[in-house]
Amino acid sequence: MKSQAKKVCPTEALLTTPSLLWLLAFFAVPAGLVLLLAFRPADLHGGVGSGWSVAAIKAASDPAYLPIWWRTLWMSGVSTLLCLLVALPMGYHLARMPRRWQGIMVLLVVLPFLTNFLIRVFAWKSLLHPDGMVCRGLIAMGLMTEEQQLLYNAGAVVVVMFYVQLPFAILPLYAAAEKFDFGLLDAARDLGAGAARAFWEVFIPGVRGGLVAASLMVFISGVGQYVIPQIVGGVDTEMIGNKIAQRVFSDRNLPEASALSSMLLLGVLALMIANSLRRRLMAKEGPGV
Amino acid sequence: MEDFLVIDAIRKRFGNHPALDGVSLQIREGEVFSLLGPSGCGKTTLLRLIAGFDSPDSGQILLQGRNVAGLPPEKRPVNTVFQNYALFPHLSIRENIAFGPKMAGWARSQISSEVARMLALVKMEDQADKLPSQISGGQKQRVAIARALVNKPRVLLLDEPLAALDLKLRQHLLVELAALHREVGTTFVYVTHDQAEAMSLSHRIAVMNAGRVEQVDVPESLYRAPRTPFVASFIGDTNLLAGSITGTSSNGCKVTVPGLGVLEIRPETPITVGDQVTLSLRPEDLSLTDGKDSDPSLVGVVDEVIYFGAFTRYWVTSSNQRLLVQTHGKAAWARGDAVRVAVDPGTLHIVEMKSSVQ
Repeated sequence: MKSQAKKVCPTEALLTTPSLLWLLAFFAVPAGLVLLLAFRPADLHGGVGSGWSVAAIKAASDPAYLPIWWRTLWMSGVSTLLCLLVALPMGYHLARMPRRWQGIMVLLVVLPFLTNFLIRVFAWKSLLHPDGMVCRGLIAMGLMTEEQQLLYNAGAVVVVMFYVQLPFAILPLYAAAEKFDFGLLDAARDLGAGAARAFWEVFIPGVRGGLVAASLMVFISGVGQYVIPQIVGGVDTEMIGNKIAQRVFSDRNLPEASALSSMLLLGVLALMIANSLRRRLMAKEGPGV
Repeated sequence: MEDFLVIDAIRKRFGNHPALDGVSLQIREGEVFSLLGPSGCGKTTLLRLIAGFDSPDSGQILLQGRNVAGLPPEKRPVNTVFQNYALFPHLSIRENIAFGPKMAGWARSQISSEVARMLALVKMEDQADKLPSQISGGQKQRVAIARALVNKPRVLLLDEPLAALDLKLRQHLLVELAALHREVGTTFVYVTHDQAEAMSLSHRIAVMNAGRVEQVDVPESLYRAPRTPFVASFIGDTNLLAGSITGTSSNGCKVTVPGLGVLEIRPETPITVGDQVTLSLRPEDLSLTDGKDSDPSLVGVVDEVIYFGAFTRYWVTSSNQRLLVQTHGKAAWARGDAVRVAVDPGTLHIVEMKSSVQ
């Protein structure tokens, strides 16, 4: 096992300083401010009053939020699962392509980023619109009736979330697959595993790091979504992000928005900390027997 | 049993490059059979075809009479020891060895007892719960062998299993490998580019070159009676000399070699006066004598002397031919000495023949 040096050498400290400062200034301080705001009273003019109050925390803990939290979790979960299901075989095949093609394909994967995010979501809105291509096509094939809707429901939100987040799942999985020794799959086949079994028993554990990274990236960006449900979702597909946006822009209740944001932030942080703890634990224990 | 594993007229092309150009071999049950040749000769391609990672363009692979050429690797009763070992990095040594039995659906108790037996066989009991990244190269190689042998394969395929190790360890593991083969008795097909490895371990060797088999023989015959110039020069060091048949003698014929004079040879194939031949002369079959009073056309000059301890090597130029001569003990001649090269009779060997009559 690698021995971990406990002493930090001066150059290392120096090199870490810029990113540390960046994190402090643009992440830790704003997050702290948001957390502080949650303990301030709201004033009647949409600003923040003086003194301290737990009113915002109480309001944000209203059980009426529970179904929205639950919906946020399951919609992000489903879109994460869809992303992994598509990105895993894609990462595998990308890594097995000739080098020259890998570069071109990765370029194609990130190409959608050249179009503004909002425009892409609006494009989906016109695709799924009752007069859009998809709807008309499905109706023509008899797979859908005129009364049915593709837009303004949870399905539409999950599909668009899946579309938007897919590259974030493909890239870490491709990076992991690219480092994978495909000779191990030959070895697994040689030892009696069928192609699917070899993929499951050897490839999946081999890209585990990439899988965890892809899941976290997609899931975390999913739970923070509010634009997609706003545009392609309906009244019953609101996510916690929409509620935060409402508290900020419509109700001008910054403390309650801050309270909700803090809860989301702490949840995500807990997820990240759990992951890094798991990794540290695994490194310490060695292989599971 | 001559027909245990039969490779029958196998052809395989990669693009325009013929990797295997009509290879046929018969491998006997229980023997250590080596595929020996330089890189790119097709030996690894042939191994991958036997394992099932590739399929031949034409030809058959018969294992105990059954054509396995169309079967996927997981359906073949053969297992491979890979060059880089290909141990599963996320599994412990024990779990690596148990992988095959687990895939085959053995009972749990049988798996654990067989894995324990294999761990003992390769002396890795103490390391069983370590990860592959925590053991040394030589240990990985032993685990790779155990992981393959636990499945009781009919044939164990070894793809340059020692190539990644240093010389000392390689020699040590070679001895271990020979002992292991005596113990398990499995048929080994051993791919290597190292002739010393092949010679020391194998019962028989197929020397391959450019997608073809040049000669299949026991190590002794490959060394003493190579049938092609390639085999003669690939197995050990040799002098390849051109000569012509100039007459007959009581028990063979006379061959004239520039720089060496007229020598006697007992050819194995019919030969006529006037034929041009290529001869292989091993350096240790040559010796040096004083060249002062000899026929000037047979006198050579010592160009280079290198002392190796147990023997000395001389490079001698005689009639524009450079000859490598090896003698026991310390150097008896120095650079610039005029010498005559003598040939130990009966060691001359024809490796190529061009008939003068069409």
